[in-house]
Amino acid sequence: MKAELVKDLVASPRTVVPTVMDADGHRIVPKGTVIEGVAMRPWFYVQMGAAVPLDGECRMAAGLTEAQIDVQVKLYEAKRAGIQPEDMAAWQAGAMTGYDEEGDWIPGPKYTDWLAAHSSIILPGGDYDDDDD
Amino acid sequence: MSIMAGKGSSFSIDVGAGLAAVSQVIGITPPEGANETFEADYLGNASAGIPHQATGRTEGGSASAEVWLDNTSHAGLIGLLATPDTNGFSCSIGFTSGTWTFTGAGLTFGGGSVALSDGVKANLAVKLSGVAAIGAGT
Repeated sequence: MKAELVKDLVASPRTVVPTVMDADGHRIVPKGTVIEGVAMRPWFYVQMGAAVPLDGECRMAAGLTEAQIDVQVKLYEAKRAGIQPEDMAAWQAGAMTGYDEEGDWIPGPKYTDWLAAHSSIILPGGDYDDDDD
Repeated sequence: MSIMAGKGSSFSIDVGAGLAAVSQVIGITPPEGANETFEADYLGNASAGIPHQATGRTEGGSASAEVWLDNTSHAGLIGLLATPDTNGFSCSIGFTSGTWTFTGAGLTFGGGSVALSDGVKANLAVKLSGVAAIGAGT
């Protein structure tokens, strides 16, 4: 019963696997860590989208198809960053990566392309960009 | 003084290998701790006010979140109901503003509303064991 983390996870007081410090000083469980054994519930991390199964036993315990696991893994960073449904399309297009402390978008690599393609949208912060103004 | 933005918040669960974020969270209620007190009145107290004293203990309270229900992405939560355990949890409020980290003694999941003209929601609640630690965001 094994799964491998495909995302870095922040540790909590209940974390029992080896951890490392990241650049920001947070204790994390790095991606690539193998979670093994029934007591560690590796299928839970597969179901949450943070890991992929390494054997059939774990895959069966997770109860998800390969396609469902792929979707969960792809959407995991959006969950961690708390992306709201109305911003999901922009996040998937790379226009934003998350929110700053005021709830405005943190621009992604495709931010300017997104703005060009959506010439009349409500910009982060509530400003209304209307070319008719 | 500052006001934290709610956007970018997440709710995560640790069953031993790190905190994994719960999907489709709509709203979060962080834990509300309370100092335990007792009524310390005595016979012949002429004052109208009822005195109380602290026991020196703190009730950690509970934390909760509302989610759009999805049986696929919430399968892990449903599984925790079948095989209960003491788990680590965190509420991260805003992308960098602050994080409540705590141990949960028990999980509640389900009980959401099904309105024909709205999406199906579910509620997630955690009873704290001890008190939450509040720190910088992750």
